[in-house]
Amino acid sequence: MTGAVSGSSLDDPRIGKGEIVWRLIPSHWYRADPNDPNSPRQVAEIAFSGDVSVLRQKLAPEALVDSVYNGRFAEFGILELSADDLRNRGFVFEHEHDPEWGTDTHFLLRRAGVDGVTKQAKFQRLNQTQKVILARIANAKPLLREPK
Amino acid sequence: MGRRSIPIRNSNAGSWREHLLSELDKLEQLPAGTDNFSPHRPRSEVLNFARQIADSLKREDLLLPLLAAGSDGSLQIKWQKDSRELSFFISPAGAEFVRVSSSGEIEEGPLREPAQANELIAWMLAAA
Repeated sequence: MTGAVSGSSLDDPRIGKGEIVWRLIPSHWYRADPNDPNSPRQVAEIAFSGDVSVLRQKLAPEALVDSVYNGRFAEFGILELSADDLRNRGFVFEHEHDPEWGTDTHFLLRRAGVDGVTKQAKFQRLNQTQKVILARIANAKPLLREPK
Repeated sequence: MGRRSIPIRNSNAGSWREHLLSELDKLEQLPAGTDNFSPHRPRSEVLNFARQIADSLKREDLLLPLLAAGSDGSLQIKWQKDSRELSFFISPAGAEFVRVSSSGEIEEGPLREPAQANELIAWMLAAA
């Protein structure tokens, strides 16, 4: 595995201290134990695979979540995450402009790594351990909004 | 959060395998897509590898696994037993396992071939 590096050089400072970011959670990623359909639903680790989009809460109110992309996310759940907590655990934020969300609103949750050839710091997708950590955080308290 | 009830032990030998294969069939019906916000149909090689895991596992006395698709063409198969967890993450780039011990320790590594899942399942089922 590529070695982790300090994220400070890559991390985007537009997400300030004390900010909250939202990860949208469809019902497919929020499931009960199949052995006990009455058990509490939990966020699955796979919710954090690939490019993990997050939104800055202060720039993406719930009304915006419900209206963008023709209301596609109106039935999605909302997971609140503390940007400070994520940074303390080694995660970094990469800005990815999406005009649908507006300026400086849409980011990707990343891991800071090193390019094997250039030895330069670069953003990488989350590893499996980080997915488990995020699922733990997600399931430690109720979602801000459960998916329908 | 609701009160967690006691899981029903899977007493029907082989039913975990039927469940797993049935869930894979459902994942195959998901829409394809490229956005980062929702699950998409796993790639065919990913589904095939998952089916090979089902064929390779020798234990019949497993609880039902949770299956879910990622936004990137990947899927997760997850078993829980008591406080231990074992997940297989299968993506077009390869397969990896993650196991979480009773003490919360997380270990990940490559799943080089479907049959390797047997030793990982044995770890999960071993007495704490």
